[in-house]
Amino acid sequence: MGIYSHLVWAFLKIGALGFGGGLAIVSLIRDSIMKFTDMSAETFANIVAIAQVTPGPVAINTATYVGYKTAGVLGSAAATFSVAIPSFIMITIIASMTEKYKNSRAVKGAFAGVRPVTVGMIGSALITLTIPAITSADRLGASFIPESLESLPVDPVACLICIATAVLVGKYKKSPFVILIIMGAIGAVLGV
Amino acid sequence: MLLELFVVFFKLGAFTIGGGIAMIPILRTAMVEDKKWFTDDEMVDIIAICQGLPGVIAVNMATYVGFRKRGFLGSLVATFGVILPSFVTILVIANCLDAIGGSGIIMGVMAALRAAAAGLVAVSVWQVGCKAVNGPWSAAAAAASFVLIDAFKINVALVVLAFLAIGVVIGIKKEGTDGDL
Repeated sequence: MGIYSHLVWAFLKIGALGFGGGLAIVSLIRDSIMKFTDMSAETFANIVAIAQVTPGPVAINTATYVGYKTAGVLGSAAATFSVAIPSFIMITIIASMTEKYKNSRAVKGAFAGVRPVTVGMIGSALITLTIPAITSADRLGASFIPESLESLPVDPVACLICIATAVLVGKYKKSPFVILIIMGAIGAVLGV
Repeated sequence: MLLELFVVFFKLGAFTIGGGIAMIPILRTAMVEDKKWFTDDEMVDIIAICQGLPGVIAVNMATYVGFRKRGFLGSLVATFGVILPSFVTILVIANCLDAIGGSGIIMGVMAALRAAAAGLVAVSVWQVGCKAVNGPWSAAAAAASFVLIDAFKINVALVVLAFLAIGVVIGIKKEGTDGDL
């Protein structure tokens, strides 16, 4: 098989079988591309690090980057579209069926069963995202904050940004877009 | 409407760092408060479906919302909108990583946005939690699924399937499972 058909097939499978979104899909990508490329584990780790700090869905970022590294712009298009196609088909089917059967007892029960799991999944994602965000070795505003704070196990500025974002968006209903732009600007001024 | 769908999801793709789950509060604000396309309860079900099915959560959400609003074409436009910013950003970065990788300003923006994304996910837990947990059964199920996924590292697919099955069985046996089982 050519490299494109390898990419398309691998990412179709990832899109169809990748439960749990984001980072769970990233580990599927790693396992499957190692079979047909010679990408090193370190290169892949760098790609994932970049995918997590650039805007957009982490899995899409990783797919685009891996596709680009293995087969250029066409490769990135192949990987990105292939990972999205299974979702597209499944969700379209489910969306039309739930509308039709949403008052059936089985569907209502299914929703009642799965809804709480959503909370568990987001809770788990919260831990996965928060720990690296507040314990990074590169401290925000390292050149401004007093040295006595450098020995803390967590980045105090990152903690403040995290809490401030949660309070402003969650409690005071500020626009998340505006808050993200403000926090990004603060990061630009402070640097690392 | 098609243009509106594209713009909403393009902004979602362009502004959120941290992936689909960090997008939830932003999507909720846009869908429930600004556009009034869905109620809060519908939104929770949309999130449950998009997380429970395989695939990229952001793509699932875009497809679902797009389909509900404008059918097949709507889902195509919304999905394209949420993917496009990633695609462009990553291609640019892949080509000039060395030039920007060491910049303190860029790194500072990224570090701040990562911390902010964690804050947004905390808001998601709260918002979805308030809607999804409405009785002793759902509270126990939320706690149990968190422990299974986070502490015991059980495959998310298995946890979703197990709770889905429990829900269907109880739902068929009993009337009125709109809220807690």
